[in-house]
Amino acid sequence: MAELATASRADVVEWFRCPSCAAFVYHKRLRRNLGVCPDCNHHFRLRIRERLGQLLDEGSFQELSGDLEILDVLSFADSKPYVERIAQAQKKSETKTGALHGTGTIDGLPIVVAGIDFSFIGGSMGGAVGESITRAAELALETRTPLLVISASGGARMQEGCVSLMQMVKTSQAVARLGEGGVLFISLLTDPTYGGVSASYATLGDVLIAEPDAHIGFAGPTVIEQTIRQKLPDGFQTAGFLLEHGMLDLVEPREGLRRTIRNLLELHARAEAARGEDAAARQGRLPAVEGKAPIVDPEQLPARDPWEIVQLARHIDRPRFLDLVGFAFDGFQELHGDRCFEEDHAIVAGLAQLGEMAVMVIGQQKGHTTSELVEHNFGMPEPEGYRKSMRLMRYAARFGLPLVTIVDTPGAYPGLGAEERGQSNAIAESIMLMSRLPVPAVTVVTGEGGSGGALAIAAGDRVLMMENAYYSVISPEGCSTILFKDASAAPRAAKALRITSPELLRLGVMDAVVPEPQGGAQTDPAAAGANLKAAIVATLGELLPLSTDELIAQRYERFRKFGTPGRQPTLPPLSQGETS
Amino acid sequence: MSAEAAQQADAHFQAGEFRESRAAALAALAGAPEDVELLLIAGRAGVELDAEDATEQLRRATELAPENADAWHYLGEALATEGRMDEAGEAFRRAVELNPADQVALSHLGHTSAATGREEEAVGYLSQAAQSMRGASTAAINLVDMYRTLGHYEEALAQAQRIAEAEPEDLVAALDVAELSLEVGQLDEAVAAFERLRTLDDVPGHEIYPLHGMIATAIKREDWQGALGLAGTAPLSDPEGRTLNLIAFLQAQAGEPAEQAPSREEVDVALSASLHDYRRMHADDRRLATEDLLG
Repeated sequence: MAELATASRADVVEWFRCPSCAAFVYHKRLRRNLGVCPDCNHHFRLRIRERLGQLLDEGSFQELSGDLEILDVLSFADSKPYVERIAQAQKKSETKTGALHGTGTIDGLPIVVAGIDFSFIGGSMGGAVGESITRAAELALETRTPLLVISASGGARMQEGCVSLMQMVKTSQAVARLGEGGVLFISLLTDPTYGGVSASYATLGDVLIAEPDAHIGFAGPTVIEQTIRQKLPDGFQTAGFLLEHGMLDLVEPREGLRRTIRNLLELHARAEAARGEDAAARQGRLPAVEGKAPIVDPEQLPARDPWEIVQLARHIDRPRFLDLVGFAFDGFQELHGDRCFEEDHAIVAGLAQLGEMAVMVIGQQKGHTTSELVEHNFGMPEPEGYRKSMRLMRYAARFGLPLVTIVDTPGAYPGLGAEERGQSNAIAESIMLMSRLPVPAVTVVTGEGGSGGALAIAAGDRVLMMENAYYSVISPEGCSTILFKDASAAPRAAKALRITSPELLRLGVMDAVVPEPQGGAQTDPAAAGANLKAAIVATLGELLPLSTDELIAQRYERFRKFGTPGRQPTLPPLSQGETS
Repeated sequence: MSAEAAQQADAHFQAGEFRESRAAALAALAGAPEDVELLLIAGRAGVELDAEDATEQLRRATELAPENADAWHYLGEALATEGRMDEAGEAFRRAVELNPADQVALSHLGHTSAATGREEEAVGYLSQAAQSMRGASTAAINLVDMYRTLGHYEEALAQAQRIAEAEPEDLVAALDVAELSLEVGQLDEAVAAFERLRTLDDVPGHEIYPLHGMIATAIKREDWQGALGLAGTAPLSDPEGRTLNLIAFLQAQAGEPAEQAPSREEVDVALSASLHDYRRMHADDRRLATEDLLG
């Protein structure tokens, strides 16, 4: 026994220096901490098998890539033949080809997994790597099992020339088929992911997750600096940079990766199970609710002064989107990014559970404090918010997820940049997409329903509003200035515009109204949330039995009737006292 | 009975079968709760399995056998695994007192001293450990870094040379020798070491890093033409284009017309960033290779 401590391990390096903070880390502590520096959270690079060991259930990985071979298609040689480089890499790496794939489980939930080992010629993608990823995607499609691909790569492999370049198409088309078939693809981007890998399958996942500070990009930063002759900002091409620029769904520390992927798998397992069910079974997934039923008869709603309602809708303590999500749904998993330009915090979106049903929830978020309001731009989306929203509407469509949208915005952001980046088009595209979405879509206006900025996410099969919300073509203040030539006439404009729930119910703009506690939702947010949940459940219960064709046809008719003579209800004029 | 059980548990441990090892040790401990050997195996296997009570089992072993150096050694490792560096350091200190030949414990003591901010003390322990261990031991490798951190470049260079001699294929050691030679002004040695690196590392695209080291050496000599000559060969092997600004700087220094030449400071930063990237690349490889050994 005594010799164990001293003899056999004297040659082995057991303390590693963190390249980020220079702390010495004992190897067992590093391993226990999943390869993350306990002092500064630097995520050390992992071997692919260690990564799989961290993510998958113990012993569940069944490798299927054993027969893969690297082909020296060009008979390539630089200072040494490619075949020698392969042999060298095989010694250094723990894979035969630089990639592996197979099946496994996470908390018992099945998954097809593929991964690249960066130690193998810089994780570059040649034919065998592309083959491994493609086979994994094909297996995932065939078995309708979610796919996880873990990438760490410098890009396409030079030694395989254009055959390497073709892997970008091969892998992209394979994951495209997953999308067409409604099979989930999660892409985990680790440090570094560049070039032909980041510009193909790796950024095509339904969900893109990166580890903190992972460097991800197409061209390397030095090339960019040399080209544009500018110093790049700190943190350029890090995961955080990409998240802020809308390119990722999540930046997840290693310790949370397994849990996050597991949550996604669970939500999608529900969606997959619901896919083949009949209407009754799907309705059976909805939860029992305790809140008050939605109101469809305007006579049952109390008459309130519209200007008072505007104040209630804007009340700082009124429950906002994220509060309501907490009351109405479980397991909300936020997803970020428009994949184009920027993360817009005015629109928050993600997957959630409603009873046993997975749904997509998209809403405008304001917040309660000054800093929250600023962070969420007072709930005024820019084009990026609508593009994120559209991306996730398409996601919902791919997986047959019912869509719930929550509207609470003074309007789309009126800014220079927003116009430069196509605010009008973003709203238009969003309206069009939502109006033809092949899944049930329920909209609830919970606070301010500010014109086109609201409508962009409000073209649902059913549109509801909370009792003290308002919905308007223009803000009362705007209307009073333009039409009444008097900025102080906003209360009068609020009356004239007919923006309250009973009026909109009568006009057919609303299908139902969610009752609020006496005094407004802010007096009892939980009760308001329960009522919202009851309304969503009841509405989805009506929609779930409808076929896609029926949904789209009915939605068309719903919006087709507005302004059509004979079909459009009109309201009686306001009395003299009401208009003054 | 317990000796037999300990042997069985140890056999499982040596085979990396930590669950079986721990189960065997715990089963035997039920009948012999104060058996130090069993406690040690149960504790060590527990550390591998992240068992919550592993450290306590090892501590119990030290209480029962305070003269058992291994017990202190393993307790130190368990504590280091939990990040309790002060306590780990104390345990390793006891292990070394009881068994001065335990160079691994000495090395651990050096590292826990460094981790708790006692750098000079750490250097003392690590250099003792490094002397009696293999050239490229954990103590020797990290001693180079410790010396560097403290600005003791001559000592760092001597240590790096020792590792490079013991491990002639070790790229990080070769890079250490090159960089430290440059740092202490042994410029011919630096050039030779960077050239050695070019021979050692034949990965396409990596040529640029040692070349940058050689350019840095020429700049230190203020041999602008020499540096320019080297830099002129760089763009071909520099897909990231790091050398372009460098050429402008060197042209300006050599009295040739140059556009948008960066400052000396910017050049120094760029060259050291290049070598830093290179070090990081290979340090990562060395760590992964070591982790493979550790299993």
